[in-house]
Amino acid sequence: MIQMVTSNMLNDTQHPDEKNTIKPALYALMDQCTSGDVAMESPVVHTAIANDGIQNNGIKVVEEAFLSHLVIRGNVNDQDFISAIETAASMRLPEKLQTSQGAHATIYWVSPDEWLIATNKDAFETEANLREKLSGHYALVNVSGGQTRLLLSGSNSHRLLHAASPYDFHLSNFPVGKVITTVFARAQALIHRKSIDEWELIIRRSFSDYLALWIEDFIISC
Amino acid sequence: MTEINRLDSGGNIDRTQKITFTFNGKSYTGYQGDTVASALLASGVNIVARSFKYRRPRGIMAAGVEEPNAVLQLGKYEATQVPNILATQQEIYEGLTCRSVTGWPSCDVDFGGLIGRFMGKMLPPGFYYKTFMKPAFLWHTYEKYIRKAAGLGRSPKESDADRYDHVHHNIDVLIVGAGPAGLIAATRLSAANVRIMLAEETTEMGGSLLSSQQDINGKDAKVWVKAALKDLQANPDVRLLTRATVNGFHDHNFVTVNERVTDHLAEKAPTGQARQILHKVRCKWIILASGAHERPLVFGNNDVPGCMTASAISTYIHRYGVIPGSRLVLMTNNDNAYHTAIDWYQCGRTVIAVVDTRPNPEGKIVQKVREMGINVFAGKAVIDVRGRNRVTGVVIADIEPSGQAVMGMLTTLDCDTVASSGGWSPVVHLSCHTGCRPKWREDIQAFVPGSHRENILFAGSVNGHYDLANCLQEAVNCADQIILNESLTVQEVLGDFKVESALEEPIMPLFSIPHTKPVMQSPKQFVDFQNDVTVSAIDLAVREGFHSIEHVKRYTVMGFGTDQGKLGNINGMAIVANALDKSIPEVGTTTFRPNYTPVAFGTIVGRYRNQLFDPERYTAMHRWHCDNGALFEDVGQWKRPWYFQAYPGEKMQDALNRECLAVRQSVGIMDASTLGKIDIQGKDAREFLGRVYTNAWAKLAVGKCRYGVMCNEDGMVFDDGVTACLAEQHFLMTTTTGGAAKVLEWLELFHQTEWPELDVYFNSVTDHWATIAINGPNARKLLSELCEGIDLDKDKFKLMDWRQGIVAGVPARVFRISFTGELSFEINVQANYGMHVWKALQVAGKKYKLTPYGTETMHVLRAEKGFIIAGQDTDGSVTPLDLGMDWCLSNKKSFSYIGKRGMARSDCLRKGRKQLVGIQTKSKEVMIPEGSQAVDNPYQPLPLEALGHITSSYFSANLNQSIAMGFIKDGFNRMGDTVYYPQPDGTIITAEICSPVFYDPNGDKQHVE
Amino acid sequence: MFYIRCPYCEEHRDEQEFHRVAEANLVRPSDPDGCSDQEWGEYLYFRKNTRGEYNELWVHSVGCRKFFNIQRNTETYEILNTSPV
Repeated sequence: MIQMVTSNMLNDTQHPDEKNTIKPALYALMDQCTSGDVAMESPVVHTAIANDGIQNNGIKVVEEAFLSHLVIRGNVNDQDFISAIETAASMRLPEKLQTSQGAHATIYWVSPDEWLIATNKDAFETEANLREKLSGHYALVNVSGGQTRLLLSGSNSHRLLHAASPYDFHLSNFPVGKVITTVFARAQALIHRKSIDEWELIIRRSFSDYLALWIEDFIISC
Repeated sequence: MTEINRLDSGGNIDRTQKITFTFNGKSYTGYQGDTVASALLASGVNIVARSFKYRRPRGIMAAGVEEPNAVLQLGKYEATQVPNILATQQEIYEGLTCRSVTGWPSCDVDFGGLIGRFMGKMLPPGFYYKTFMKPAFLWHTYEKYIRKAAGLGRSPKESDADRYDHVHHNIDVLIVGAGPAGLIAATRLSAANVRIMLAEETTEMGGSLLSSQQDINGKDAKVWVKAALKDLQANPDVRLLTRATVNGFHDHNFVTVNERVTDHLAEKAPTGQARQILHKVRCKWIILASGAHERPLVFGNNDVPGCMTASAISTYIHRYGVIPGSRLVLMTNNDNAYHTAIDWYQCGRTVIAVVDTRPNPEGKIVQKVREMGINVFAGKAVIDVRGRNRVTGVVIADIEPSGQAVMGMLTTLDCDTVASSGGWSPVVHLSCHTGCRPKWREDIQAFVPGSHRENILFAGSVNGHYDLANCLQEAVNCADQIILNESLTVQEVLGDFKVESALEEPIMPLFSIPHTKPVMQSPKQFVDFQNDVTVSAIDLAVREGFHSIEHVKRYTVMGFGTDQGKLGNINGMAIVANALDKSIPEVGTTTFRPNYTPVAFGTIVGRYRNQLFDPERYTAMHRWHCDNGALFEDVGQWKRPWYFQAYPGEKMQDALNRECLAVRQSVGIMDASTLGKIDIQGKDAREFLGRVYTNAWAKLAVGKCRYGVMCNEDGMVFDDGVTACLAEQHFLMTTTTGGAAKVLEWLELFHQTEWPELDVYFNSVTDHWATIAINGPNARKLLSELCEGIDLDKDKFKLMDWRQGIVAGVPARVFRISFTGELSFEINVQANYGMHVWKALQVAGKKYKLTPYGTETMHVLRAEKGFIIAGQDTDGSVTPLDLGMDWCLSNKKSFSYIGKRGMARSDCLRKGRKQLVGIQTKSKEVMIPEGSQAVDNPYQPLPLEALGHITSSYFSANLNQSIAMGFIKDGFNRMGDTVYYPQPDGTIITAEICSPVFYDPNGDKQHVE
Repeated sequence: MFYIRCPYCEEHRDEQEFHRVAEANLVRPSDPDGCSDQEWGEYLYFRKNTRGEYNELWVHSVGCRKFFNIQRNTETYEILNTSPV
């Protein structure tokens, strides 16, 4: 069983070992959110996508702000790892280029040893819950502040994708449920086809002003 | 102007839509569907340009993209100027304004024409090299006038008023060209459930069928075209593009297609619409059905307006209802061109004669023309043209069957139009873009595409199949080959056809008509019209020793124009072959490169202009910086505050002085979010750190941080930063702003390829954390006002410790690390809270005069302390030893860390290496420009022996003097020595070598209470 | 513009998602400190730079971030094979 580093432990001048009740923590788990009355700013807060989003001529983009994003790393050949994740998340770990959808979360395949879970549940609780089940070699990283999810929808949404990315978004190559990470405009995005005309785009915070400008430029002229 | 050459009927133009446009300041009319060229010809305009070198009047010669002369500057307004538009491609719209790109003051009256007529002999090939070589300093004077005279249009001075776009496609089959071959291939494939794009360069699909009199399936070919298009349009998997030029064939079947979406509609595209689209197409297969261009024959004065290619005349008649003259002489070496004589005759105008260079043409079509009562002169050739601004007649003579000489009596025929046909040149360009060479076919006297690795197939006249039946059959075969190769199922067999074969007699191998006089004395025989390259110029180049076709091209400039020699190059190659007494395939072609036709810059740029050109990366606090006077510096793609203006117009040095003093006297605040941050987890994380950093990591305790230097395998510093131990198997590494992506890749590289056995994972958390650095003697007081849960006592929270707590109500990790030498805390919070915490600090900081500062102040402050910046004070040739950072190397580690062996090479250990030291100018107010080289004796003979350069140089407000760091050979042993920095303006800055730590050498400041 | 099959994602992607890293199969000497300057120099600097068939290490940087080997022809730009490292 793994112990967590909590804030009061680190303030303690005692070495954790000296406390008999607790073993040294292997990983620093931190509740990074506050329940206090503090203003949060999403990555696209200063762009046209903020609030109600932007739409025109069969294309709509809105932000799904402040979700919890957690990176999961582990060995796909390690059955304990897989079952721990699946038990904790009550979801299947998706196969290559696939996603799995739960009531409150989506797990995206990212790389042979990397997945992303995006959930509307608390990041700290989600991570703690996962860590409780996990053992062996794995990593969990809270990246909720570093990225955001956009929902692109509408009958012309594929046109925006074809302008932004060289990838083949045709249904025959990109069925519902598939996910890829690819070039998007001059940055990158994780792109998931949620339904025929609905796409989730996960973009990095520092590129989000640029990408929002690009999307706005496309949508106003489409 | 009345349209004197407009036929009463015919042509695919809308005669109910009359359009007025302006050419060279004069108003002309035409109809919807006309090109500028067809409308000008309809109005009887002869001269559309002045030639490049000789300023000779030039007319329209062709009807398509191969046109060399009718090059226009388009646009009514400055922002809508487009240079080098072809009159043969540009459709007219109401109000279109254009002018010739050549000719001064106008192309009708050109003063340069006099130069051409009387000084032509002084303008041989290579005349730039021969004439303007000396004196060299005058070249800039010559150049200005030469460029003005050359004139190939001008770029707009205002930014483009239009939008452009890029669209990516992933398809199964791209068909290039919607002539008979392209259309039937598309039709056949459309039943096979594949994604198809059919791209046609002109405004209308159908190609040669639009001006053909042949039947398909017993009906007019145009009816077949219409039906085929209707079926294709109904198929959602078929994308039809017109006005779309396939310009580049790149590796792995990647193709670029330039679609002119609104060029034909108006001066400016309708609001919101892209004027042009660049389609980037990745396709499994390409069917190249790009057709062929007719090449003219070369003869004396063959550039006089009224000389045209035969097929162009037929195109003007059939597609535009325009006949560009009254009395035609047609010269040909093949059967195909006889169609033009028939077309002309059927318009009710006079065909003076068909001059056939073949001794005894007896083909079916020749008989037909003879039966119409048209004179056919066999074994004869046009050797010269009469007239200056318009053809008035031709001189004909007998030509030997070998084509090598003319003889006998000269006859003059009166006419106003000379059509010529030297056969067809397949448009092989795209097939050559990936490096394949075309192959010569003797039977048709033409280059066809050579063998290919790629999935590219050839159909129709591009492959030398000029006969309609063969052309269609080959296209069908291409489609079937794809169906077979891809194991496609076909719902229905489409594209069966019945066409009568029209057998033609062989073409005569002839490109240039000899004159009775030797080449150098004969009238000018033009090969490349746009660049005024003549037969005698090519002849001279060969005699001067240029034997490779690539050399001849560069010496004569043949094929260098905006037309890239589409009309003239094959003739030029044949003439070179003849002069060298070689065969044409032995001489070969010049290299065909993308793009096939000129592409507007706007199209290449697409929507990636202004702010979309390159991503600007912002931190969570960026908006605050914008609102508070920040000027920004680019660091990679990041926009970082450079310095903040306290009031509009504050000078940079004043702002820096103010910021620097504020940090050292009270407290300053900086956005450090851009530093790269890498989360490292795993039981071997510690071991991994020990291998990639030069120092030791085995004993770093939880709650502690350590500075580390990363080297390449060669021992040279490439990045540095602080890494914190978050938990036993969990670390947070920071990197330089610019090095973040590179360092993460470096770690992954070694993990994935060298040490996969180490259990460790790396993930970027750069964007996840907002990092706020507060620096200065009042930093602790400021933090204590907002911080809960951390004991800030200096002995409890020491330098190089980190703690977790609450700052301004937000969970935070606070690092006590310092890059300024002051008491300093770096507060990390989840980025969504970054702005909140930043603003809370501003409010709480008021009483301490909290001052925001940017990267420049950071640079000054760290330089006062002698801290390096990887990438500024290092350049990939500097070891930690050269930086005096021996303390950062651990030789106790069992593993030979990256860089250890590299920096132990003999050259890295030798005496006399350049070492980083402080540099203090003798006059304390003088600053040494960065990059200045040090010398021991500025008066030594040249070349001066340089000791090393200045890497960092600033004015320090805190010390009220200039400070600098730089490299000096053996610098560590030369403390106190004087060195000199000679400047480009002749002055010499005298300076003394010193310690790089200018401020607080004992480091007391970072431990203040 | 190359079209490269990532052996980890198991599908073709545009060249923009990748970049070349180095010649493939460079072996870091197991005992660097035991190498002569000559041997270390060979490892550091000497590359085959073959005209024709060549093995290179590439990374799917805008994608799965995995390194892999490409066997390609530097003359014709054909990619003959891609394989995991």
